[in-house]
Amino acid sequence: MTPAVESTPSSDDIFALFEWLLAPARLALKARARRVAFRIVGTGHAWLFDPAHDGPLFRRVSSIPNTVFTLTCTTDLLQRLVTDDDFALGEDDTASFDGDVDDLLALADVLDEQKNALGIRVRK
Amino acid sequence: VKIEKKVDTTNPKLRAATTTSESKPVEAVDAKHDVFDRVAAPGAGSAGNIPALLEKLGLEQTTTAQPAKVKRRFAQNIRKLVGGLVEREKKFVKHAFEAMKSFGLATIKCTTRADFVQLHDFAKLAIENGRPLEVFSILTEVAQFLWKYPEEARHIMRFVANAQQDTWKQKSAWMAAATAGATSNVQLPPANAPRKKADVVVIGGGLSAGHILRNFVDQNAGKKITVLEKDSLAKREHAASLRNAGIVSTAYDYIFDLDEAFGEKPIDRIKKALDCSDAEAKVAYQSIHHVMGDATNVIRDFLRAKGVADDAIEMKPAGGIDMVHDADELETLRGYVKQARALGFDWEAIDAKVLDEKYHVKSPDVVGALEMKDSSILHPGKLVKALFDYATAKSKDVSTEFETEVLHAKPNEKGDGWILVTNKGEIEAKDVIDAREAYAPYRFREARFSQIHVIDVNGDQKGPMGLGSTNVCHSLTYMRKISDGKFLVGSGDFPVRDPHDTPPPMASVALYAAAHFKMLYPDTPYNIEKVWGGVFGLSTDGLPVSGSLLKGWHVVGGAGGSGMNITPATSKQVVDEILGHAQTGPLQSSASFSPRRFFLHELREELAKSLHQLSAMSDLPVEKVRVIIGNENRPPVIIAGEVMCVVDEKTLDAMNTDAAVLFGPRAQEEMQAREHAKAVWVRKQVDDIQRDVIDAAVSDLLGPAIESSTTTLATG
Repeated sequence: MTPAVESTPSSDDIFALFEWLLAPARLALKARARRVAFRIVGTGHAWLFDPAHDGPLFRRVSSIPNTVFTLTCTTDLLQRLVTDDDFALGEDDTASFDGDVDDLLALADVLDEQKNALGIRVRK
Repeated sequence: VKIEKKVDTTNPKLRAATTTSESKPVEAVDAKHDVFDRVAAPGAGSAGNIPALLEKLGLEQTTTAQPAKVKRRFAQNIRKLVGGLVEREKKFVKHAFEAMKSFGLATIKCTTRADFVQLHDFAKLAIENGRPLEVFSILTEVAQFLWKYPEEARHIMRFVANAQQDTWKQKSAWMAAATAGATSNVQLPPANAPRKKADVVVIGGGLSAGHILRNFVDQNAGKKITVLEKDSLAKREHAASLRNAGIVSTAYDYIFDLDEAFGEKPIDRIKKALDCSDAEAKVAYQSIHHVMGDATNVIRDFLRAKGVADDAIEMKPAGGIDMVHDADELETLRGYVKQARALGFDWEAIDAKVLDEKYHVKSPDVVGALEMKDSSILHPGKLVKALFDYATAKSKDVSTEFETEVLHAKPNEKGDGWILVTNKGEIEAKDVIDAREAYAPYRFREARFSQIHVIDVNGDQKGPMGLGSTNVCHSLTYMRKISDGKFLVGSGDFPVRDPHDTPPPMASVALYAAAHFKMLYPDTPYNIEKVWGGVFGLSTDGLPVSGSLLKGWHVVGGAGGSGMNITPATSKQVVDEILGHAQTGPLQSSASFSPRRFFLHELREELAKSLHQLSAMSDLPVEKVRVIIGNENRPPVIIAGEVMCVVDEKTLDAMNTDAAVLFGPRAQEEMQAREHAKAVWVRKQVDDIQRDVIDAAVSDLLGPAIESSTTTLATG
């Protein structure tokens, strides 16, 4: 079986966007989140989200520590996480994971909490 | 086998336990690829490029702050992704567990991947500790495939799940050719339809029937022959002949494993199964070898007689290879090859280098192969059709009634033939040949399920297409090319109680087949595109069946997984028997392979058991009890510690419990009558033997006195 790979935009772009979206929550992430690895299908690339790292949150790595939650998927799927209003994991999506899904959920938790903590409300 | 890890089936989290090792590899960070290092890189998603990227993705424009909507959507979608992954994981685990269960091996309930890791570990430990190797190695190979290629496994399981509604709806790749131009012709006969008549009726319209027809017309038998086939010509869905792989392999997959194919072991086995002498067993053994090795020639001879090329049935005598996994095995194989060549097989043992150069197979899992140059592949659908077409074209006395199912049988009024009651009325014949194989109702019939997958592969010569038309065996899988870019991988050998109640295509078998394909061709992308299952028949003693069960009722079968090889021989054998020259058959005389042997064995066991009540015979083994079919019943004799009984055909047929099932509504009554007849016969033999034993004892006791008085009289 050879899953289709879509690579527009590049994984570099996608992780830069993630970096940008999560950067304001760096402190909360450092306190609450754990490392998460992303293995990109078809490219041989892997990225590591490391909230404890002093530099960027996302770094490209050549190997993934075996205790880290790892999501294996396509760039297309990562892109849809930020673009799709009606996102759903389709039958044809190439995606699998290894580890505790709570580690990935922590990112969503922090994103939500950050919004509440800052008291940002949409005013019309 | 000690299992140290406990399975926590109550853990609500899907925590994958892939970390059986505590060692933590050194994290290698490629600093050059930090996102902030790429700020200046053209096209990179640096902070400076974010607005352009947002625009590219059609997202809200912003200047400095992150857009709330995008972040909210991001958070929501991460949750949706996790939800989807967890659901998928549950499905994966469920399917994988079902797949494992279909092997009958999952001894613990699997709810998480951790459970599978434990199963895998268990299998490994079992193997290391010398526990039943074969089944656990299957489990291990499937489990390894699941871990190593989860995406492929998921696709395969999904594909098979979609194909699981009905085994028979999954058409084989051969069906279209066999059923071309067919239309349904269901016509129920009128209530008062006259009974049809034929000289010979063949039940079952598969490969055996095709060879039977060919042999009758080739011998100009001048007999009216009717084939009754329960499927319609358009469907032909149950015929094992149309659901196999079309491999004519000279390896002994089902009759003998390779490690028991040569030397004294197979002869001993035949001797026990056929209850014959050493010399007869040896002839039978050689005849099986001849049949297996000569199958390609027999089929080609048929084609030549028809005046057509091999291409008519896509026959390609390009040989076959059976993979060898370690050096010791290869060395043992060299010994087998010597013995096989002495018996006339065209076999070689080849090493990994030759395997790579000649067949483009290069795998760390394989150190060499058995090369069977006398194997071939063909299109079974075209072969079956060619045999039927040939016979019907050559003789106007040959016909096939489709959608005609035999319900039961009864002897005709004169007692010299059979009446078959079918869903379309009755048909009478002097001789009946039961060629239903796996679907025949006898106790000595076994049915097994096998599953075949067609995959779409690269057409280049690096992958499986490099094999050309050479077929491959790899552990329990078999593979061959179907056409350019299409490759067949089959596996499975699952006993099924009722051949009509077969399992749907199983994910476990598909995974096992995929694992083996992957071992040979790790770099070849493939896509599973077709799956079908089928049953094949074999006998309880694993040997072919050909001959009479009752007078005028003949059975062919027991071909096992070697139907392409065996059916030409069993079919010719039974035709020769009906035409009165059984001794010319390709197998040893038909009596040896006749299905009566199963009841004869039962009879011998009963007799031995009953004789144990006599103190002189309390330890008599069944091997020392012989029952021979003769022209007339004779009292038993004891010769050299063996009890020998002679029974005539009529008496034997009246006792034969294996045949009771043929009588449909009267089957139970027939069984009781036959059991009674058997008990009476056994009692009579025991009484006769007891009398002989007592007479002998009295004779021993009185012998000297009589001798003495005789001497006295003579002297006097």
